[in-house]
Amino acid sequence: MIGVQDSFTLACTKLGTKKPLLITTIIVASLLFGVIITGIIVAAGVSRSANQYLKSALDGKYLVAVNPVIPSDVLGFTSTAEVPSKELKQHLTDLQAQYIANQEKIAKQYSVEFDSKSIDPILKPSPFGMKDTLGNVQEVINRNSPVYQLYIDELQENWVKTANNTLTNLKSRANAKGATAYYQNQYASLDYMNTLYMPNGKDDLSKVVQPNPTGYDPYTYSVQNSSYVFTDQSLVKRYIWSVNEKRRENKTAIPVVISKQEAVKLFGNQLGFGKEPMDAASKIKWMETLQQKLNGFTYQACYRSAGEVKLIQEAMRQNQAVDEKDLISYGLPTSPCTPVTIRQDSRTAAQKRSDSNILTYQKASGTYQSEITQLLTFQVVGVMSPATSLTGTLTDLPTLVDNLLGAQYQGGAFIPNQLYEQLPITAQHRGVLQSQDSLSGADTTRLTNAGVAGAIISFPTATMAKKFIDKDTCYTQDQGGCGKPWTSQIEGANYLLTEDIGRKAFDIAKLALPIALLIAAIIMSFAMARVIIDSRHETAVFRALGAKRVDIMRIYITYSILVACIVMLSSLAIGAVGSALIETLYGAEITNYAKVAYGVFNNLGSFNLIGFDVVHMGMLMAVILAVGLIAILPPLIRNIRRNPIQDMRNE
Amino acid sequence: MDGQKDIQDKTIEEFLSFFNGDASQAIKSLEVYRRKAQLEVNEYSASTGTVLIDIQSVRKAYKSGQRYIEALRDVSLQIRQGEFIAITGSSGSGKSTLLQLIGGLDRLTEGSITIDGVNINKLRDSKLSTFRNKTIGFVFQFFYLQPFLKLTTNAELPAMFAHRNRKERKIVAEELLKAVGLSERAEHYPSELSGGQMQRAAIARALINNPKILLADEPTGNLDSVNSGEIIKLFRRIQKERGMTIIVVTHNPEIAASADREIRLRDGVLV
Repeated sequence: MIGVQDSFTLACTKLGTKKPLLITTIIVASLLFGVIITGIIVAAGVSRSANQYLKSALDGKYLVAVNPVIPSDVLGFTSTAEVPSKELKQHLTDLQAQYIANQEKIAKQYSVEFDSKSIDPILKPSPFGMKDTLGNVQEVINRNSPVYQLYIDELQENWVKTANNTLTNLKSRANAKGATAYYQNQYASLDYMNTLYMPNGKDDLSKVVQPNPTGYDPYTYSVQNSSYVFTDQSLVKRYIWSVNEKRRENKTAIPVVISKQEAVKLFGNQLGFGKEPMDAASKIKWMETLQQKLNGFTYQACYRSAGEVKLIQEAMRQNQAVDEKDLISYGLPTSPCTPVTIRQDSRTAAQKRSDSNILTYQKASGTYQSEITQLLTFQVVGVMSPATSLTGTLTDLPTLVDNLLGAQYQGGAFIPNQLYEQLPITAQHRGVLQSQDSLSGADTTRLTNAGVAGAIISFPTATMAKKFIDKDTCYTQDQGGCGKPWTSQIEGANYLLTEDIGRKAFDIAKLALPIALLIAAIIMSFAMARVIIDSRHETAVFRALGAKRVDIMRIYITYSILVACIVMLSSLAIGAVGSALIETLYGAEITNYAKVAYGVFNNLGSFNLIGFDVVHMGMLMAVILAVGLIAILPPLIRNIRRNPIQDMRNE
Repeated sequence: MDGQKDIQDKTIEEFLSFFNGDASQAIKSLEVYRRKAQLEVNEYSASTGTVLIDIQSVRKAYKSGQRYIEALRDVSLQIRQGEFIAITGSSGSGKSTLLQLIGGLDRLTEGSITIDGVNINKLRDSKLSTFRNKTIGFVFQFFYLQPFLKLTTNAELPAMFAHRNRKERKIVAEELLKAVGLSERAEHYPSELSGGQMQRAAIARALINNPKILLADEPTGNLDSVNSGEIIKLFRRIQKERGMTIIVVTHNPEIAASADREIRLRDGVLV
């Protein structure tokens, strides 16, 4: 049989035949594959750059925010329209009786009169007027009753006894998947109900008595709704700016990292950095201005306890009912975030004693509502760029980069723990920021205290994080849950997006690649068939000179490999030129997008769009080779089956 | 009738008288005489006397459109080692078909061809190719040199299929090219040569594996008389120097005349 080198020598001679057709074939096939290679190079470049940015952004911590799955009724999320069973009704009535008995006992102890009718009852007629078969309006659970909280406490206590999603269990599972650290974010005990954001330092009392959330998107409304999350500083490290003069001067304000969107919304006009520009080049400059103006900037919010709010309400009522004579006359605050003042106290000494007794009783029975007003000053120490939510497909690279590097957090305004701890005790406002007095039914703190808690888990690699998410949790994006005891979502940045991109790219490739391959195979097959047909006489001569069929096959297979190699090299060249072109056209723009999305724009290298993906490139090269071989096989088999004499005679 | 000399000395009338005027008997006798005559070796032959090619009752038919054509009919022939044979005949007489059957390029319909003791009809394609590669050298009217290969590489071609050592075959190819007077042109491409030079290169290629038989199909058909003469001389030289059996299909009377033996074919039959 002919040697490899000789078959190569003879195959090379084939390249000289049918030159125009062969060149056209190579150009068309190379263009088709070149486009695919361009895609692979750019995808690899984006992936590599994104991973570099992510590595830097996440500081080697691939975070997964995990929350235990808790039944909604245990959290107190029962429907207000749901009619309780007969047994539950009886149980709730018993609980109410216990509560009243307890209150009566304490009242007696403090010589206070107790009216059981003053208790908001646990069962109330349905607000929707639902009737039973006899036509009577049915009773539903009244969530405003103090007995309801007892009921929820009882449910939670019972549930935690059998719960398998304790923090201990969670750590055991996560450790097995390589988890290296655990963090626990904690919501500040502030919300729109008790804390009023004070734009330009103004205190709007109408909003104190009628609080109303301004919106629910955490990235746009956290400051306005006073929704803050305490977090480990390392998790938001990338967004925290270096200390400047303003921050050195003010060491008593509560440090906070807010979202870019909310910063623009609340302070953009005031500080003169306006809206975020659309073009990439201006973005960096805009971000620099934003940083310069916002670093160390302070704003205020006013905390008022429920008791204080009641006093404001009372003062407002007294202001309107000027004819009535009240024992205590209250004055509304005259300057922002100051408490209600007592203008006149007309109570007798006995009345004061009685009121004092009532106060002592309320404190003992847990019904006391303190009267606290605290002015909270927050200082912006960083701004994060939240990822725009992914809806539908990624249509352009900027959106992709934004999604890839933008912040992914369960919250929109963060108080970094370590910076917070550096504040003087008096400036920490722990009583209002970390209070457990105002726990509602939906609050999971009780469960946390009982060991059922979520955590932000750090993994050293995205793969480990992904494995944990897949094996032990229901990923948040999996609609409808999956029956596992925890839910999870990625935290910090969308480091799994590269995988999503891979999946999307695979979807596109599934469609594009077969078409490209088919077209390439057809034209290559046609060209090679022409070359083989034109070489029939030559094949006959080779046979006359002693070539076996297998020799002929070897020569033409080598020829097809040669053509495939030329296509490969041309495709690689086209891919290199194409990706270099894309890099030239979009590299700088994408880098700007990336830096803005990343949040920090100093000391970061460019977001390079060129990368080398050995696996996919290798696979494509193998495919090109296979196409070349498949293309040549049918005409070659037909050719070697022919009688060489036939071709000689036809000469 | 006995003895060839007897027949040669007689006039037609005298010859027919032997058969009492029976023309058909006379023709039969003449055919037997001719067959015998073909087995004779002329005085210039380098033949060793050993029968190298034994063709027995060969028939070759092939289908052309709706009908079968008999290219060869009942051809029997023996060729000795070292003989220089010219196969002549008009176009379509079956001479090229006979050459291709001897070369194992085509399968015969009936009969047998035994070369150097091997019945080539019974060889499978692969073995037949090896046999052809080692035993037979082909020379064509249109040379069929590879246009993109230098002469040396062209000459090496059959040795490539024999998977012979590269260095060794290159030396042999250069020697052969020198032998056919083309040493100066060894590094040239076929397009840079004249027709005669190309045919000499083709002959060098045919000799690379040192075959026992050289088959040439109209080797001078595309050459002028001067070059034709040189090719004839070259064949003679090869025959003498190498003791090679040479079979040439030709219309060229010079080749036919210079051959040891001329075999004529008409309508697929030896005449």
